[in-house]
Amino acid sequence: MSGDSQVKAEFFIENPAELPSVAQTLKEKGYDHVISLSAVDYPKSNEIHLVIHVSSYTKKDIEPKIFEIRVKLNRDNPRVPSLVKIWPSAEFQEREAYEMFGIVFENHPDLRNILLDPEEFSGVHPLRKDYIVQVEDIMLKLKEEVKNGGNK
Amino acid sequence: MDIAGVAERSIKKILKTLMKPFSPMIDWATKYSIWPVHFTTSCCGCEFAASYGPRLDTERLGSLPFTHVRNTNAIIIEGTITKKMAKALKVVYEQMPAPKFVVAMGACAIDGGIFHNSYNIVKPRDILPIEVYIPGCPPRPEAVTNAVRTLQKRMQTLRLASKQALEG
Ligand code: SF4
Repeated sequence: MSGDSQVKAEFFIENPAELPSVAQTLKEKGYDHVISLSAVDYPKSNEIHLVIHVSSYTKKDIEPKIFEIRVKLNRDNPRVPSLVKIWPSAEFQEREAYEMFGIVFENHPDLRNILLDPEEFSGVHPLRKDYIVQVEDIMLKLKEEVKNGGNK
Repeated sequence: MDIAGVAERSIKKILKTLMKPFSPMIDWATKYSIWPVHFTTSCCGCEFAASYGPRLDTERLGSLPFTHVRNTNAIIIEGTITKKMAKALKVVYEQMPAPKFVVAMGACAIDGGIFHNSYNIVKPRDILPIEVYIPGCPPRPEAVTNAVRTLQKRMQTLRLASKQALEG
């Protein structure tokens, strides 16, 4: 990938219900596959941003371009229409976003965990910022103890 | 009372008593037939493959990596064990006939290694009895060969195999 030819455009959607129409328009323009579908957690403003990167294989003129769509979701109940019907390559990545962030994709054909064990991770989403890894918690406490001059 | 069960238990007891004098032989024989099952979960598997390759040829110690769980008697845990894989590991271990031995290879299998603060890691020592550890990330192939030797020495001195076969 040569750095100069990468032209990046960004599109921010406030209302998740608008996503399918935006996706449809992009698809008609020639953006035919999803490169990556991930999310960013913002606990302070109670938001989750769904980040979708799309590009093209078929149209030579937009092939070097990557188009980014960001969708603002409510953190308490993140729901968004699934893009599988428009871009089939989104299927597995939507399942990953589902298990890692708890984003529910409506009308997804097969919304289950893809990588994580469904028994161990039912109801917990490890990539959310409020998820506590036990080992890390201990390390943080140790660091604080050292800062406060150790425990006497 | 269950007569068949009592009979079976007493037969086993008699057999064990008869086998006692042969226990050094069991250890000696098992020592030269450590067959680890292919259980490659991570990058350490490459070094494992290299240690059984032509240069070091760990097979000369009587150790042959094998595919069928029920025909093997050792697991060399090659690297990271995730929560999903831990279940498979447990099943594989239960399937092996005794005497059986577990070797933990790599920093990941000892204490998590570079994934020590991951949400998805299991430390093998929490779920299985581990005989030998191989430190390193990844360990050199020589270290794997050395681990097999160490396991052999421990079998001879601590009577690991006969203990499992006769008492376990
Ligand atoms: S110890 Fe290192 S080489 Fe081995 S599995 Fe872990 S990260 Fe990979």
